Amino acid sequence: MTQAAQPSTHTPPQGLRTEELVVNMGPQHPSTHGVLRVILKLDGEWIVEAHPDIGYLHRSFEKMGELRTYTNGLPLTDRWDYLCAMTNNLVYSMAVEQLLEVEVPERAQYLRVIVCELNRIASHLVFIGTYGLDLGAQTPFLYCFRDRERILHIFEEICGARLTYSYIYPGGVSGDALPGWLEKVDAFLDYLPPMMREIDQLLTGNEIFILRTRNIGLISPEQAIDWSLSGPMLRASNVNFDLRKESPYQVYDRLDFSVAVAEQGDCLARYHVRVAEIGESIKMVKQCLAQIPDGPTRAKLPKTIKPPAGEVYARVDTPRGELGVYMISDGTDKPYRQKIRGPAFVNLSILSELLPGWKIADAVSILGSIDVVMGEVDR
Amino acid sequence: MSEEEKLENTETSDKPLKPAGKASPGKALAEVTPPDPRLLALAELLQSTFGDAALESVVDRGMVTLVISPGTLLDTCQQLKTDPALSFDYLACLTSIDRQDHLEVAYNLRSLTHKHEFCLKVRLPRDTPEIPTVTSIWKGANWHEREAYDLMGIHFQGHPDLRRILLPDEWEGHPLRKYYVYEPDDVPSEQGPPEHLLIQLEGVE
Repeated sequence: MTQAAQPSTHTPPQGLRTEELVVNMGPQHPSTHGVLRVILKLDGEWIVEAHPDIGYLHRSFEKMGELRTYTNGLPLTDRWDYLCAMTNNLVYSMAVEQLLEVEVPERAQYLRVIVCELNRIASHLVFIGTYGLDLGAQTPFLYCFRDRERILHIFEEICGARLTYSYIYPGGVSGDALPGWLEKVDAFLDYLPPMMREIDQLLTGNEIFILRTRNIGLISPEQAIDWSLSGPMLRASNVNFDLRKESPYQVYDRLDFSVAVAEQGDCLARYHVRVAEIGESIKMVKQCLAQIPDGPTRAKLPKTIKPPAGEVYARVDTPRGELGVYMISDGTDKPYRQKIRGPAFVNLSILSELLPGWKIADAVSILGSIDVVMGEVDR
Repeated sequence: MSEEEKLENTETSDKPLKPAGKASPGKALAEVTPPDPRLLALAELLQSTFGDAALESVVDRGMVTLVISPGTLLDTCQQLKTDPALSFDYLACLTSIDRQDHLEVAYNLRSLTHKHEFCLKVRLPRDTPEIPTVTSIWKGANWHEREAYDLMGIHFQGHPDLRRILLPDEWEGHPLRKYYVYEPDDVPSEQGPPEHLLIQLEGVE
């Protein structure tokens, strides 16, 4: 029925003159998920060159962080990757805790993992919905946002915010779960799997969707490692690496889960990895709910946080990959320097090598499968 | 922070603060506490591999740092990637740092085979911050280096496309430098910089 798509090695027939056409994709384009501009040079329908142009959302968080105390810097982290602010809070808090060398109470660690994994589910639901939208499937979007809304309600109950949580704090979490909150999370975990099957029926087996994604945007394992890809982008290229497994932080070493890996390295594989990760996250949160102990949710920290001089590199696995913070303390109450290693920033950089050779319609598939959040790319 | 200050500032809570490490960067390997055996083993492996090329080696708070001179960067990186005992095939992060008397570039390297990682560092003079690019070894360095050029003004020689990445092309200066002062066009110069920018000047002198 269909032949596998292949990158073009195409040359125009003899005697015919063709002209290259430069097309601006974005910065205002629904499939760029924010303000991303990709300058495409086209030969007919084939992409010859691609130059991503970023920075439209740059808010200079690294500089702003240097001007604020460690505590005041936390709300800024919510604005990096606004689809998964819990992991941003977590990596920032972990960096400060590593500098201070404090240990976080167990209950707080479990609460952190619960909210981070719920946030992963929420973020992947947005991916599934918007990816369908990119490729012309309108319905799954509504189903995904319906379920994501439930997670946002759960977050609203624990920290009062739907997107910018500032819930995970240096030393612990900002507040313990209210009575009944953990039961609500449990009820949601029971609610979600049938809904996922619904989404599966709408999208995963959808013939048009498969035709648009299978064997499109192939990334080899060597390429993925060379370009420092991380998260589902790396794991869909058959590289089994997950920071939660390889260098477990918080309580991930006590949880039994498998790392979702796919072999093909195409857009469909990246989609499958994310869908599988939702299932793993459900498993993880279930285990956390069973294991979570009673106790304090905040370690004893000085009111003014002044870590001893030194440098740390804290990193966590977010829905998009490795989010790292290289934080330097000079002994004062403000970080001397903090570098944010955004996973989408690095994942996006492969675009200039990945896009050439594919058709322009595939550019939308490929870009969507990277799952960029421009807030974190531009920082 | 002194002991009394620490006590005064302490909130009442249930878990005591673990004593902060006495380690500070720049101390020799043996003086630093507490040593994680795996990290120490890695530090020793690196030290024995690079010997004289390593200017300084620090193990502090879970991170091994090795400082080398910019001249040996490319050879060192090549060896780090190809040496089967090291095989650092993954560049996790690249950070530029303004130390006021000099600049630094820190490479967080990881081996997906051996599952170990460390931080490689080079120090550059402030006036001529030039360093060879590592994009030929790890392609993932491309945008990190462009960012370091854009925000910190470090020139990566041989980079395939060294342009500003986050700021507009016509931007002047490099904002992450400690002495950088941003003067928006709409502020009349006789009024001086607006108040919120004065915070930035504190402690810089």
